[in-house]
Amino acid sequence: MRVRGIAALAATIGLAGPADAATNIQVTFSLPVYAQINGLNDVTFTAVPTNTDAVNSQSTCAWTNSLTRSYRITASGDGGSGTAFSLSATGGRTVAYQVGWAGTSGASSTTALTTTVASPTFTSAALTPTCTTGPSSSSTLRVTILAADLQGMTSSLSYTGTLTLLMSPM
Amino acid sequence: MHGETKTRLICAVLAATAALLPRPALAQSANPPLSNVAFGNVTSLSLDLRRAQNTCSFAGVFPITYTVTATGSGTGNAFTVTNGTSTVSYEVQWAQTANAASGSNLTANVALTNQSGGGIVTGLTCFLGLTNATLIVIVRAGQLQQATTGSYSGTLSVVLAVQ
Repeated sequence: MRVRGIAALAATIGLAGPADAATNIQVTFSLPVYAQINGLNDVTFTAVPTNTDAVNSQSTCAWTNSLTRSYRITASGDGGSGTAFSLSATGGRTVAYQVGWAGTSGASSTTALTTTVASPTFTSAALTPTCTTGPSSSSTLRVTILAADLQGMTSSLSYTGTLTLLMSPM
Repeated sequence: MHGETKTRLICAVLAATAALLPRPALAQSANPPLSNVAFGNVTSLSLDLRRAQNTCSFAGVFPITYTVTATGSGTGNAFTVTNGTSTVSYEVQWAQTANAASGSNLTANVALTNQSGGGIVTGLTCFLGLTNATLIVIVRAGQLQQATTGSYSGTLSVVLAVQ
């Protein structure tokens, strides 16, 4: 009798209880589309010879988390009517420059960009916003002042301008 | 008082007390139950997503410890969520106190043992709606940065068992 009583008590307090139960919960979040260009540097030309094009190429990290990791680049300058790719100096002097973009790092050739016009689609190999994982860079920006334009510049003047790049994920 | 009579009285008190407590084999998260972890829209890729929720775990009057075993819906029960094309890992932690800032990291399908949660006081704690444990789910910023856009979801299963 005593044994049965102890057994009943044990069952009551759980020593021989029901099977373990699982709790299922949902883990959710929504990730918007992001895009960014990281690692762009100012472009400076100094003591430029006028018999050859002045070229500056730099590799950058262009990253997007779009499903295809594709994007377009729209570039604009601040010359002329406000968006031309041109530099200006005192006295109203200006000089045009060319802008190119490639969807790979260290590219020797780039796709020429027209101011305020979206580029063709590029696909980025960048895996993280600052390229800390995967390739250390994923694209190339190329700025060129043609020799013919260099020859029209006035010496001893500083020409400056701003180039704006807009990255649009696709 | 006669020895046998005293024993019967203690047993009766214990039985009566146990009857008031949550279902004993393990009152898993019954009060309150574990809730879905909905982080909503991600607004920064520089910050971890972190959600902690209190719950009450009770191993029974006599069992004083329990185990926690969690499994995810990813490959091999991994703690992952997916948008259908991309997979993001998350971390799961369990703490033996409420409002814990951090806990023990859980490995998918591996029991976290020796969690303290037995006795009458613990039972009453759960019965009264108080909490004594924390479940924490973390999605690291590094994981978010590598993921493609979309709505991510996955199932996390948590099992508490008397040890």
